[in-house]
Amino acid sequence: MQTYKAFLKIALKNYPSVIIYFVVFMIVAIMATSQGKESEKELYKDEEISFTVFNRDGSALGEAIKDYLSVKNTYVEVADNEEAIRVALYYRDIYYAVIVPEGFEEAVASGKDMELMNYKVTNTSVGYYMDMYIENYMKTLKSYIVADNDMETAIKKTLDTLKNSVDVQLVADINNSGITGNPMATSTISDDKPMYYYFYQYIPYIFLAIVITGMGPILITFGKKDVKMRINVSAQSFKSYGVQMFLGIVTFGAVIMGIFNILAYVLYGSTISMTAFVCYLILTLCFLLVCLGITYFAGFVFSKSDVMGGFANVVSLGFSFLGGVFVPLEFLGSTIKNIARLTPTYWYIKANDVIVGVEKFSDLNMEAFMKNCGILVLYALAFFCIGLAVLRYKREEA
Amino acid sequence: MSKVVEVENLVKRYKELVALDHFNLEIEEGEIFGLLGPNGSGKSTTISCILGLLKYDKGSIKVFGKTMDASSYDIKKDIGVVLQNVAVFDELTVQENIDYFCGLYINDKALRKQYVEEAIAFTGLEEFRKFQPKKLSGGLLRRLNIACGIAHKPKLIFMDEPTVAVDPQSRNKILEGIQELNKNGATIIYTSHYMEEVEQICTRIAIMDQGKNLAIGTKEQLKDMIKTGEMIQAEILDAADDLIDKVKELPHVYKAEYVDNHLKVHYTKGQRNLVRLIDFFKNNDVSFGRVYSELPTLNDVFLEITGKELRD
Ligand SMILES: Nc1ncnc2c1ncn2[C@@H]1O[C@H](COP(=O)(O)OP(=O)(O)OP(=O)(O)O)[C@@H](O)[C@H]1O
Ligand SMILES: [Mg+2]
Repeated sequence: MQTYKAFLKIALKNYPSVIIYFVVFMIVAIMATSQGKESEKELYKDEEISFTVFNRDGSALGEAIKDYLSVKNTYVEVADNEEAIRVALYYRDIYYAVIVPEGFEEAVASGKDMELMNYKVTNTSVGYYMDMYIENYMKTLKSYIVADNDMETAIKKTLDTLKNSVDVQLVADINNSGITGNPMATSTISDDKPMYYYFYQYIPYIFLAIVITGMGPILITFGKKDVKMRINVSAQSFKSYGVQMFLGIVTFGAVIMGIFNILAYVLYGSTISMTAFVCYLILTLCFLLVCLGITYFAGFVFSKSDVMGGFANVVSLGFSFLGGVFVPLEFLGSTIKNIARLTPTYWYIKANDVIVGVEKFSDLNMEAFMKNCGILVLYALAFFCIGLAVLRYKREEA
Repeated sequence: MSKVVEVENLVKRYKELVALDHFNLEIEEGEIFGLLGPNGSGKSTTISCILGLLKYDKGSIKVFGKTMDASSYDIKKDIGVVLQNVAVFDELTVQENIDYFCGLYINDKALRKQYVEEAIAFTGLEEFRKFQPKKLSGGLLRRLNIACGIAHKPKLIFMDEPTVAVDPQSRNKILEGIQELNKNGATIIYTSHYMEEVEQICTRIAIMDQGKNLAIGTKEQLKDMIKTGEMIQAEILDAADDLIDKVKELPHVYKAEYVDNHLKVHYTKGQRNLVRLIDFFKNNDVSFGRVYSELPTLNDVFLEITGKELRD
């Protein structure tokens, strides 16, 4: 196991550059996490949110909604016209306006589909929080109606039920994350994704950087012509050498996988479902293979460790910017988006979008997940094949 | 004595270039065998073929009486190699490097530890055991290169120009070390294009050029093969042409020339040439300064066999 041991020894001696990447990543992750904590606080705070209700229906239900929201928040009187609403939202006099359309109570009572409408300050979690509140209220109310209560009783029972359990219910709902059926829900709010989503979003960058800078130099060292000759004339068989190198690479990969996934579990274990975590294990493994493939190929192309370091930077930053690691894909122009499709990171990020929020296995869009992971594995294979081709070409040169 | 290496009619081509052209070689146990040839003559190629590192086009190679190829691990375990270029891991220390390469042959931990220590002592690297290769001077690096090749106590050692770019002091240490390895029982194949080194340590020498083995023998045998004997130089202020003609008449002289106030007299074999020349000067009233005699070198041998100097 001489070669395997030397592989690990050299890997350990390369640690300074790896540590730098790791520290940078940790800082980013911790910063993101603490930001996340703040927004969580904002989400669950007891602080009151200013809102208004336009009861165009003039119904008891409209008033009940206002009363219900007033339990925890502050009702503000605003004139019922577009201009006034916009000004109030702009100056943050209110964060949220509920519109109870005409005929709403009747529709609810008769079990027809009619939605409340709203205005809200975009890009804050406040609007999301209020959506949850209302969604929750309507669900509960409808269930009492379905259970043959008249409107008055249903309203009363709903208020009683919710008064005590508002917060608990909300937390569960937020973890469920998918709030739907609100026709006026303006734009998706970007900080409504759980923190682990961002952690895993940065993984491609850190994997590329660490694997290439950490393992590239090892492959270069073992591939140096003269060292290779000396190993080839020795009594160690080619097969044993190959197996030991492979074990070295596997160990390296396993350590990286282990560190980051354990870290993810320690930081976000409470918010991530087991199913999602398993999906992430599979996804990070697929991406690790891509990184190993790139490193394998680069190990044959470059003969100097410094060059390898530069290559690591170019590839990790380049793929990360293009593939949507640092900048969300929606913000990229269509040309860049087309180029982005050529990067493995793009498919990783897509898979991340598929996984996020998955609670149980049946929630998972299996087809999309398999497709994205499959493409990553193909990338890995392609890089390994290019590596082999370069190796063969170099052999013929020699 | 048994033959350790037998190379027969070896032909190796690199595309159009014929690097080895029906090359033959036999090496006996216990020799320090020198492969002497100018740059590009095929020394490294020969060694690579014998070691199974290169495929060859024709011929056969046997080591320890067995046919050698890339997977002859039972033969390889008794071979040590010190290649022309330093081949060590930059990331590992002196000791770790020696241990790694020794470990490719020796599995037993305790034995390996002992061997590594002996190799460090043998190459005088005790103070540097924790150094990384890039902190070593050129001479020390060469010694590390040697230590990595011989730590496992091989019976047959190939050394491909192990003293290139090494200062004379280190070089002498290395040469002494090679002789010691040989005394301890190793057969050594040594390549160089420094004839002094080869003359100093090798028991037998092959002279090669352009992939051919041109001559083989002990240094005395090689020098006997050529017609050049000694060359005597005398400082003479001013020598008339007829004097030079008379010198040419002397026994064993095959060439005499007068350059820069020096009379150079080349002899084939023969004895008492110097005494006879001085007598001749006295008899002819020639006043002369310093007189000295030079014995033929391997360079003369090489010059006569190939028509060119050994060194560029
Ligand atoms: N990999 C190669 N591809 C093509 N030609 C080669 C290769 N290696 C060596 N040669 C050529 O083969 C010939 C013999 O080279 P070799 O290295 O064996 O010489 P050498 O005697 O060891 O020289 P040196 O004293 O410079 O080490 C040279 O002409 C060289 O240019
Ligand atoms: Mg050579």
